[in-house]
Amino acid sequence: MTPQRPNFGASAPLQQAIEGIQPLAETIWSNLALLSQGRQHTRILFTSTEERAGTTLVAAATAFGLARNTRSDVTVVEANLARPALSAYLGTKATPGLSDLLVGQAHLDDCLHLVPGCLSLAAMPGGTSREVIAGEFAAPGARDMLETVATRTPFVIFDGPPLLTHPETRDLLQHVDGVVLVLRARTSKKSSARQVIERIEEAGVEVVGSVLNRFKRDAPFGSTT
Amino acid sequence: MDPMFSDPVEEEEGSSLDLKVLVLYGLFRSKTWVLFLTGLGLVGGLVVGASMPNEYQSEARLRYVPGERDKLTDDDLAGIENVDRRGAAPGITDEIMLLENPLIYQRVAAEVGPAKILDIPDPAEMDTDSTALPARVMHALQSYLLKLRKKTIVEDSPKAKTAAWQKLRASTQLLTVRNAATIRVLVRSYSPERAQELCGALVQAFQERHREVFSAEARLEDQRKKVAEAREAYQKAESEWNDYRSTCGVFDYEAERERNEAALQSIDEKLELHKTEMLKLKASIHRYQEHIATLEPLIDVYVEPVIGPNPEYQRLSEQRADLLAEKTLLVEGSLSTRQVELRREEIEKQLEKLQKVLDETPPVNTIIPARTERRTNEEYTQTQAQLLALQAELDGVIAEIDRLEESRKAKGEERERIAECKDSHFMHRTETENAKKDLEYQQEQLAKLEKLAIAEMKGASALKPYWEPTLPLTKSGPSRLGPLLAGIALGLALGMLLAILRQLLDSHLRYPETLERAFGLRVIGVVPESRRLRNLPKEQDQDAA
Repeated sequence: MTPQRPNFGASAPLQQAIEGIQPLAETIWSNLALLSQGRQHTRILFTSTEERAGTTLVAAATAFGLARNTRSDVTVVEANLARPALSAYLGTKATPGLSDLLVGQAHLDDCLHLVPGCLSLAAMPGGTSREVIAGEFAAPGARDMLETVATRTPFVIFDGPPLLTHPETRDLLQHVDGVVLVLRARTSKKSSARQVIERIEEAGVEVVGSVLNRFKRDAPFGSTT
Repeated sequence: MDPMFSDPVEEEEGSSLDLKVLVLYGLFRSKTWVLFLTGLGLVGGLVVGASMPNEYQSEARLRYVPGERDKLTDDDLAGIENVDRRGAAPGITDEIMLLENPLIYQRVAAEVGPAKILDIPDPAEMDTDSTALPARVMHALQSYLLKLRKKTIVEDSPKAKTAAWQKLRASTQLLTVRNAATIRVLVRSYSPERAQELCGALVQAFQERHREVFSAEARLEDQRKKVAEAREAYQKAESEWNDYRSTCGVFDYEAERERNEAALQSIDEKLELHKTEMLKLKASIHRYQEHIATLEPLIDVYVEPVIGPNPEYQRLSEQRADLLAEKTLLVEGSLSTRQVELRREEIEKQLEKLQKVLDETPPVNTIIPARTERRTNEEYTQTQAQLLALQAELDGVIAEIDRLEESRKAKGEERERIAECKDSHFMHRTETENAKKDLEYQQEQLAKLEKLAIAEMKGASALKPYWEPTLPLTKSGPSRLGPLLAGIALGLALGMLLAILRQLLDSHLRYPETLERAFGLRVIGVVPESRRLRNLPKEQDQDAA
């Protein structure tokens, strides 16, 4: 399908979703774009404190924004093997993906799918949905692979599962330069956020910022950025 | 790893509590509760206001004209000298303080009975056909609320009596009128008639109280005792003083001291004179002594012959005188004329002979012839006599000086004795004088009180009714706005408290400010809530393209 306009090839609601938050994701990708100064590769992990925080959508929109506006190649890797959703947002094939790559059932190049309508954006979906094997991401093969992916393009976005409930996300920290914490307003707990931040800092990685998703104003005034 | 941002958001120390999030956002978030509670408070305020019974205020005025009796303060009657306050009448403020005594209210409450003070009449009973509908509705509500809270008042119970007088006191106001010696008595009650009745009872009670406090009759006995005590004290002081004077020998210190000083002065002057005199005498004696040393006690003196009358001549002269006398006295009497003439001729012949003899006889002759005699030098003698006289005088002066010095010594001893008495003399004198003054004062006070007691019997009082208690035509309270506003304020406060608590206790993240302030996280994006996003399918199509 040749896109007349940016078209992910996803279903209309998903495309609308991406387009819906695109203006808001401007601030996210523009902040992250600054990080690339002086770096050859900028690797950012998007994670959250709990499921259904909107991490994948935000990561996808950010990756798309970076690819379109910085004219750099961007790779987005979905590390949530249990509940993959990236391909649905970006309109790529769901498999093969990271889960298949990790078990050796696919090659790296096969797992990277160019996003229709944005050829500088390559997505590695989660792949065949399964539970993560404990320590899977820390295995030497996986680490090498992740390192390879992490240095593939100037920008690499990792869409990680919630850090507190998915230990594998912690293994991803060693491959990234910074973390964007996606929090869901009125749902994410303060204590959980504190814990996540502590764990990220313990790993020696900087939390470059946070995204507050599904924010609802209580008052007709106040900060939104 | 180097920080990716050069200016990370720094969390301010101690600023995790964002007031904007806590208060403003909290209020908007919990606006329903806030409004609800405020409304509840409003309703509560309305109910409380409605349940407050109407009050009516009666006013009376008293004129305060203090007289001599009122000027007698307790200090005066206690005999305490207070120069600043003596003669100053208690002011109107003092009078008001006197009338605020709880005893007055207790007395009035006991007289009229607790029910008249505490019982609230049913407002609906006073409605007539001319009463406006809203008022009637309000009265009906009030009546209902009053019935709910009404308690039976037991007239004789101590609790009811206490509640009654405290209520009466709280419902009474005593005010002054500017530039006038007038006291306004304002009494509130639940009906106009009661307000007037209570006001009248209080006015009477105030007058009685004033009379009691300033009653001269009550104080006469005390004052008489004070006079007796003062007299006794004075007599004792006087007696002690007299005893002391007898002991020390100085009766009137000042007079004796002055006399002693005068005597000493006189002695000194005399001594001065005598000493001067003594010096002069000594000088004179010295001169005389020098002079007498130059004189001889005996000297040769030429004695002039002593010429005396010749006795012969004297005899002849006497004879002649006799003859002459006889001649003169010859008269015819016993002798004849012839005889007289013959005797005369005889006498004249005799006189001629005598005269011849007298002429030949010297009348004087030298008795003692001139000679030189060794006689006492008169000058020497005189000088010696003067010297002796001077010596005697000097002795006299010296003796006098000695006597004066003895006298002076005695006077000096006397002066010391007088000086020793000085302190005690003064002390006794002062005590006696003070005791005397006190006695005079107490007698003066007694005289005043006796006069005032007479005036009292005639009904004199400083507190006179000026306005009789008024019958109020309209209610004076209560102000229902207060409870209403208080209800609204309370409701609002509770609502805000609830809102703030909700924010404080909320464990979830809601605002970008919280992320920035509490966690120091930079917020790089805020995605608003969207129905579209909420309903997105999450499971992926395996072959979506």
